[in-house]
Amino acid sequence: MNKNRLGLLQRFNIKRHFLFFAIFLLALPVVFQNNFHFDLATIWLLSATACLGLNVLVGYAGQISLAHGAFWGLGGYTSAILATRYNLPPLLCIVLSTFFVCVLSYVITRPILKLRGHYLALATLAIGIIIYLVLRNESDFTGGPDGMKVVALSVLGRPLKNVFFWYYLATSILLLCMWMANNLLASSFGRALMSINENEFVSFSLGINSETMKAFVFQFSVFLAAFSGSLYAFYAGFISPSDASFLSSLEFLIMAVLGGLGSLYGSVLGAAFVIILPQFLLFFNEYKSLLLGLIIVLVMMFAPGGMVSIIEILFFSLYNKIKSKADTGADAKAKKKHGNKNL
Amino acid sequence: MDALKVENLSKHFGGLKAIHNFSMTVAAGSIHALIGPNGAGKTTLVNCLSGLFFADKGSIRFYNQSLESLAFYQRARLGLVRTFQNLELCQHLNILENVLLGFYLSLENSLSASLFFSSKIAQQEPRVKQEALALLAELGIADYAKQLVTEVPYGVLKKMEIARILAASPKMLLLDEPVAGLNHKETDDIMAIIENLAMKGKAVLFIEHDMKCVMRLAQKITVMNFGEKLAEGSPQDIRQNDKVIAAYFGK
Ligand SMILES: Nc1ncnc2c1ncn2[C@@H]1O[C@H](COP(=O)(O)OP(=O)(O)OP(=O)(O)O)[C@@H](O)[C@H]1O
Ligand SMILES: [Mg+2]
Repeated sequence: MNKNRLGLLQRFNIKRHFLFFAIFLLALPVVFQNNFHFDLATIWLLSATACLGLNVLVGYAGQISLAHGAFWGLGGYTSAILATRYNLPPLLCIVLSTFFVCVLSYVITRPILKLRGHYLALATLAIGIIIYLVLRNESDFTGGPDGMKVVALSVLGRPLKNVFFWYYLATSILLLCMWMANNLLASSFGRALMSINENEFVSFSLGINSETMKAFVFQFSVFLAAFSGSLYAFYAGFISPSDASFLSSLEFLIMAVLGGLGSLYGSVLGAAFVIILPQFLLFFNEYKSLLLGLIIVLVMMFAPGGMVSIIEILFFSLYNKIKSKADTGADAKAKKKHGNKNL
Repeated sequence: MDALKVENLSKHFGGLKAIHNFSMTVAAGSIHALIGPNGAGKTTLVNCLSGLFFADKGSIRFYNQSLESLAFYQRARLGLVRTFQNLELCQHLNILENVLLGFYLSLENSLSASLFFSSKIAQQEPRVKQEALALLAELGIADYAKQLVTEVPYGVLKKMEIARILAASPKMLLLDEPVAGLNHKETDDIMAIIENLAMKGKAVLFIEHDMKCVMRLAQKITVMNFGEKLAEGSPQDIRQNDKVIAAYFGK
């Protein structure tokens, strides 16, 4: 099969399966047996939302960020501090915190977005670590290394702790963000974005300003990370510096790469893998990271397009089999029909 | 009226004077050829004009607007566009999508409209696809629209590159060796395309080694050697110029 048949432009397009996917997520709680399942699923969906933005950034704009865990954590902390220490209404906190993180990231990343490849990765790594250190050391505000408690999300003074509520909130946010990301990529903006990643000479020669474009996409991805991070803090009721650590940033990147760069479904799949798989590996506790690492290496070796590409290949070979069977069937029928005439 | 006016332009790479005190003008609506031996500095000149490089000194005026401080993409926005000597392609896009890229400037691109799939965005996509297909048909490559750039003949790619910049509705085109490596039929096609462009009032500055093509197309020819202007004039003048003959065939 020609690998290019599943070129970038086709990959992101989620329209065809989107309805199925939405129904799948809406119906999923049917199989949940306890609150722990709901808990895992909610964290999965929130992480997938953050990963979505990162996937657009890495998969389409070709920019690597090792700071998205920090932006997620910073979003969470800002919400937590505003709600817990200043008693602001949680919904307002989410808005303010997302806005704050976006403005901050705009200011600090503006000069470094000119960098490419390894240099950009290193610069974002440094930014992530600085954010982490500040969160860990400003104990008066953040509670230091022990983290801090976060008040429950409440609307008009009524706390919302229902597992169904959180699951469906996370689901609707993920679906909405997937729809927006798909729109973005399907538009002329998305085409221009791909040209920047593929061949910057082409984009320049057609009047596309790649620098502002990259900055836009970076902000979009930071927005999603900070927003879902804020929600996560309210959901979990607790936040600690490890949520903003380098490991957390790395996890988001692994989700995107493992799931499939440049594929929106890939983010969802990758997030499921990174969040849910470790739960099955609990009895290997000591070797958990080792196993996860091994799986990543294997997927990258045999399916560089990520888990989505495995599914695509399986699906296409199945599709071709069915099609060729149908074709030979049709041929035989046609022969039968015209057989007598030919004789 | 002058479409392009270059004065005392210089671009040095270390000790190498790729362009040195070079001046020329291209009249609006005319076809102007730039020729010279390999390494004469022709591509470097186009790079300086289009903004891929910044010249060390000298002035560039495009329809009376000075370009020196403008970036590559800003010059393209003013209507000064170029092709590349070595094809520059987006490998993962097909021919049609490559040409669609060229329409970028004339389309609604704002982040909010794109994110929420505004009605303007919904309407513009089918319309611009039609326009792109019409452009491909005009250049005779509509049959290849759905094929990936890795799957089509070189001549088609050369035409596609022209279609792509035409989509940006330029005022002036800089074509770096548009017929290099093409067969007779393809060369004739591209020559017809260039003639057609000039008739529509667009200025064309093209670099070419194929003398037959140059002599037939160009209204004016500038000859470059070692980064400097060697001669300039009508095809007749250039054909009989001793300095040009010496530069091309050795002393
Ligand atoms: N980016 C660069 N860095 C250093 N030197 C360069 C660079 N680009 C071009 N040159 C040098 O400048 C000189 C002119 O090169 P240029 O590509 O402009 O020649 P040209 O006239 O286009 O030749 P050709 O007909 O072979 O395309 C050459 O000696 C080349 O080696
Ligand atoms: Mg050249």
